[in-house]
Amino acid sequence: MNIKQIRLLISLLLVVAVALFFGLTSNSFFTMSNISQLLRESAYIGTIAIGMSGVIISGNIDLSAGGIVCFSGCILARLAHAGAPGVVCVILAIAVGVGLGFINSVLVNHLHIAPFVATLAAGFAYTGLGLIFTFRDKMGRQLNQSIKNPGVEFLGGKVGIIYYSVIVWLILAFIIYFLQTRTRFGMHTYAVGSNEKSAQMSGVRIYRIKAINYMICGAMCGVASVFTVAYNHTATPSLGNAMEFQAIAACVIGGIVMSGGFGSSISAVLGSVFFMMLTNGMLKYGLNVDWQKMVQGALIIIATSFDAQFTRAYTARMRKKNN
Amino acid sequence: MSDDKHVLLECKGIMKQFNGIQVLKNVDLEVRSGEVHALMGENGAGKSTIIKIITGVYTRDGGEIYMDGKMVNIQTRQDSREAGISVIYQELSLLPALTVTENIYLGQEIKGKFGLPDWKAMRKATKELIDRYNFDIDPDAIVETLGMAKRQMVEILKALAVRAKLIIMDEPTASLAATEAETLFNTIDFLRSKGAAILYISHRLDEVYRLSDRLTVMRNGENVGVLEKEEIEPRRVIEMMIGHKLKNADDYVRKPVNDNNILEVKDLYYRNMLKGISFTAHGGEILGIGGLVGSGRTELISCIYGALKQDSGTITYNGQPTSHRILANMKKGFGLVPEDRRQEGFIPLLSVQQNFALASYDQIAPHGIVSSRKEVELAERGIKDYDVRPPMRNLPVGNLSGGNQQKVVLGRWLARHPNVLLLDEPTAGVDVGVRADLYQYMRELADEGHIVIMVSSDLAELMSVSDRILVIHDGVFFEEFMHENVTQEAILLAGSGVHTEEGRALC
Repeated sequence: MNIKQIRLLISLLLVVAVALFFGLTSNSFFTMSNISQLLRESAYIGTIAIGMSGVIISGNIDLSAGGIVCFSGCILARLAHAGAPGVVCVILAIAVGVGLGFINSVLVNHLHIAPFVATLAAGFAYTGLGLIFTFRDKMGRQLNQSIKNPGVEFLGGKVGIIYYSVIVWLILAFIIYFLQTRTRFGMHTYAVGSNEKSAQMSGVRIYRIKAINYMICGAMCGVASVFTVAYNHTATPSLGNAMEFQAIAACVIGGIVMSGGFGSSISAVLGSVFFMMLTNGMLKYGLNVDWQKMVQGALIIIATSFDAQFTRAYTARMRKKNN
Repeated sequence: MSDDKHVLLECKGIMKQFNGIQVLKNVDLEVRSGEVHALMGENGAGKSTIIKIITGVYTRDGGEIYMDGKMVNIQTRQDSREAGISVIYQELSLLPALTVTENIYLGQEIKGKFGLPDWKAMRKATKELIDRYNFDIDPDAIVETLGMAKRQMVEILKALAVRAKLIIMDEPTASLAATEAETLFNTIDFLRSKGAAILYISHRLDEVYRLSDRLTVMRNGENVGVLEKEEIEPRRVIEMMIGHKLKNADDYVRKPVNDNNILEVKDLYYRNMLKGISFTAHGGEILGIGGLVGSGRTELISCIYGALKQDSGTITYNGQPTSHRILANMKKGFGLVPEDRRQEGFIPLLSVQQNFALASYDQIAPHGIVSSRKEVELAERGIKDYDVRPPMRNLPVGNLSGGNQQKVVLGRWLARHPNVLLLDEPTAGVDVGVRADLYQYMRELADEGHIVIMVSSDLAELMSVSDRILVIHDGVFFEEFMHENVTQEAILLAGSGVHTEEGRALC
């Protein structure tokens, strides 16, 4: 077993362990409705996280993900409310995501702004733009306008206990996993994240690889906004708020290394489920949002330091074995 | 002279094992004061391990260490420093943003009033030290502005500032050009005359030949012999290092060149480094490019490869101008083995398999989807052809030794049978046994009719491998040498702008 498989197994075992812990200590955890809601919530940050995974693997970061969700969600809500067909709304929301992802890549590739700064600033701008499109009354106050649009409403639904958002999320996760592990684009993504200069010298078009990953991330944010709006029937000003943080947390917990070159979209899926289970479980124990935030923050620190130790120990072991 | 050469460092029966593998087996090592003692051996022979034990990076499993006849118990780096041992590593450990004085006294500041560091006193002490050893260094210079040779002097000063009795130098010339290395050698001679003991680790035989009073050779974790100065002879040392006799290599035959495969460079200008370079390379020959580090050699081949864009001038391959984009040139059959393999060569986190495949995904993944079978085949063949050790295709390349990493980087290009292979310092930090392999692969490629261009600072390598050598001086090709009548002195002189009888003047 190599280090990638071992790390993935650790994530899987963590998910199982947390599920068992809450399942055995709380009698409202393993109920149909709780599992259904848990997966639906995982799907929102999970969809962003699978997009984020490629960006992180290629050695970058997208802090504007929440902003993209807000912007494309608000546009979607407006269009849907105005009566545009569901298909058009969805395509446009995703297209907006791709476009904003492209803007991010221009900031990083061509204006040479550090990804962290570029996407942080861009994220603010996207959120601001999104808020212009929110529903307001005559006085300019924001309204909780409920959307009536059969196409969009359908997407908020479920089959059995599984929401459509979950199905779409998992399908997309596998498509991205295939892209990452079985295609030239994927190999180049890992190469860029692990050593950009070497990759460039071997003929990898590093700017293109980064741009595509940002655009995929943008598209996933678009998808996440579609399902969020479809379920809530509205776009509120807080749409997408802190979602980039949760998605990055999910990636890190799942075993994607922040410095790039390691992990996959499946890591992001496992991380998202773990993250949402913990949040959900804490609710069952009556811990409020303040506590949740603290635990989530601590979790990122623990996961990051664990990975640093884990890779170091593994490398040291392999070195000794080979020398 | 030999009377005052007492034994300074003595290691007796040093043992070390990692995970049940005995990497040092009963190693003895003896360094006398006032001598330059060379330590040689292939990668994995245990040189670094014993150095790390002496300097307290590793703790030994058994054996004793004596300094000046007294047993010292070295467990930590601090113990080693207190025993009077300083080490200058291959990768320099200076802080580039600080001045020379600040670097020298970092961590051992002279305290003044209120326990605050007394920079005036430190600057004065640095100045005295520099004067005593006649170094040409400004104590206030920011280290970043100094060349590699001077940085090395700062490292040496740092060791002298703590009155080290033994200075260990690990591959000190790895990043120096020939003239810079000469400056270092003079410094070493001077230190020796002042009674300092130097333990000198290098892959380069000519240096060891030039410098050392005695030489210890290690192989497979054992000390296989100590040679006195008069016994040091390159052939003998290599045979001791690799453990068997060498084949005689003096059967050079010039092969005809392939005129259907021609790379032509005309009037190439780049910044103030290249000032009108022109040359023609033919298929079937290994063209060596010599000159000082920083003379524009790397920029020249980067321009040819498309990694840099020249300011003016043309590069044509078989009559067609080359592109300014790497990928377009790769499609024409260009390949580059870069100078800094850690930064530009391999991808440490990716496996041997993926590193081999990196430049060949156009063949392995014709429609964008990777064929596992082809990828595995390519890697298996590469591991076999280029003798990559350990032969595990799933191992991250970061975990291989330097020589094996280089085999992977070279193999990545050889797998494509490049029409034009550019190599920049291909054997830096690669041990002797592997070097011979790399030379053979280069020769085989040339024999297939392809163009091989090699930049090298290692004169012996340049002379033995190249059919033809062009030496850069002051931004142009200054002199051309043929394999048959080139000498080390002539290459060095040409690099410094002096014509010789051996070469053909190009300007």
